[in-house]
Amino acid sequence: MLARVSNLEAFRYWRESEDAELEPLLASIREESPPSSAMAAGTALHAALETAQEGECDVLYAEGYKFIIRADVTLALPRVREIRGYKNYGPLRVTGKVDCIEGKRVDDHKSTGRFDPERYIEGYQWRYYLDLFDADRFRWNVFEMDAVDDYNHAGPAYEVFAFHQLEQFRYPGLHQDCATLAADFYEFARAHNLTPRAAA
Amino acid sequence: MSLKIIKSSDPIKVERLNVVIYAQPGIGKTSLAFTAESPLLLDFDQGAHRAANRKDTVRVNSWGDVTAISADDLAPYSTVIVDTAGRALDALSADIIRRDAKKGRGGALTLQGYGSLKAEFIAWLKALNGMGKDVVLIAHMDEQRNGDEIVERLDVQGGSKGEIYKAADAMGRIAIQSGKRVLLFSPTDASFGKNPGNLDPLTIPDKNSPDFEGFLAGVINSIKDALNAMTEEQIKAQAVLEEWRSRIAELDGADAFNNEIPEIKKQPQAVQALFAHAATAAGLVFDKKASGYVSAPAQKVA
Repeated sequence: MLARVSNLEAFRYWRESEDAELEPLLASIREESPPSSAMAAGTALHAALETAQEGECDVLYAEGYKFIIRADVTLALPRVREIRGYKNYGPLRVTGKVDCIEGKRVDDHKSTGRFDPERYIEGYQWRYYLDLFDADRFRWNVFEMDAVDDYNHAGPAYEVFAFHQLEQFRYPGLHQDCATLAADFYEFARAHNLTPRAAA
Repeated sequence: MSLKIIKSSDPIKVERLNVVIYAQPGIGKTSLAFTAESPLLLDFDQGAHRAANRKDTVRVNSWGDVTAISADDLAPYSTVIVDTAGRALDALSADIIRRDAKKGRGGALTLQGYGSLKAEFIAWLKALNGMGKDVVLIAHMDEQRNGDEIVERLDVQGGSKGEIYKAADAMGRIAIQSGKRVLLFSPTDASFGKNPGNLDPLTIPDKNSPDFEGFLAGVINSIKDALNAMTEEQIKAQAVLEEWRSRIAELDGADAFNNEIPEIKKQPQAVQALFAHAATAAGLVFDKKASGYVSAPAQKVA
């Protein structure tokens, strides 16, 4: 069975959250639910950063979106970008695509309406990416942004009002933590006849 | 206000650290912090007198007491202990509102006030690091119930907590295990940690043991050594990745990719992933039977 890192993280979040309901989780793993407007904006920001070159700008455009930069952001972007990795955890093969790799450091871009570092730190995405790519250091580049009206632009517009960098590190037992969650997810997926539609 | 994209540069040697230590009240956070190298404790919590091994301490009643400390005052010290980080941020918040009433509403910071808090707190930490000081940020632990589980968090108010997570190079918590105090840097599902030193749980020596003196100084040095070793590994790994990035870019056709497979198998995961990505982008698919890449079948046109 092949699953995305995001499937495992969604499962972990559902399991840890008292109020989270099962059906939305199953729909997200089966990719039956359409992306929210925030997710679509995040995808567009990723697209803009994937092809970004060295230089300075105050507006980014991608996939019909406009991102107006209203914060001082300095970003060292590695040249190796958007790379997919795989790793087997028993019967479950896990895959994830990192935004950037620099030596033994993995970078991930996030867009959010409100910076919540605890949400990132307690998650498993960074642990899997470190394990998948045999990396030591994980860096989040977090763009805090809000939708805005921009009558000069036909598509959706967002204003980036703050930027944060946060890091985490490999620790002893990281691989085992990933393997334990993968085993739990595998049993859950079998029990619910799930076939995650992970990218090959 | 702009986005400046710059070239990645080699990481620099780590000489100063910001370390967060958090735990329940009364478990000995301050005593542990005093075992750092040549410490000066900024006592925002007014509780340093309880530490048995108390050393030089500045009792802080307002942020003005902090800004009054000069570089010369700090010269004899190697480590500045902020006890606690939460109270320090409270004191800075009050000072920001005192200086500019528009940045406060009912004693709490406005959004603009939070912006000032974040900027000034980080600038202060950087200034301390710039003076060659390690900084130990002490925080109380907040236990939050999530269903049947107890989740441990830093007890710091509001959005300023994020600044502590960002500023922390390492984050450990003190716990009691089998009757002994231990310092744990690895995160778990129920608690936070940041463990760049790849440290296993560390038993904190008894306060009366000679090993207790200098204990945190040794831990901080271990973390610096590990980070600097990681820096060297990072530089080597990046050199390998760059070499292969150029080499892979030159590959043309299935045969060229297949010729590299024996060598690629010996390379780090990141290089293998880069290779597979490039093969896919070149319109190749891996044929398990042939143990090599072949051209992807042409898409049927509707």
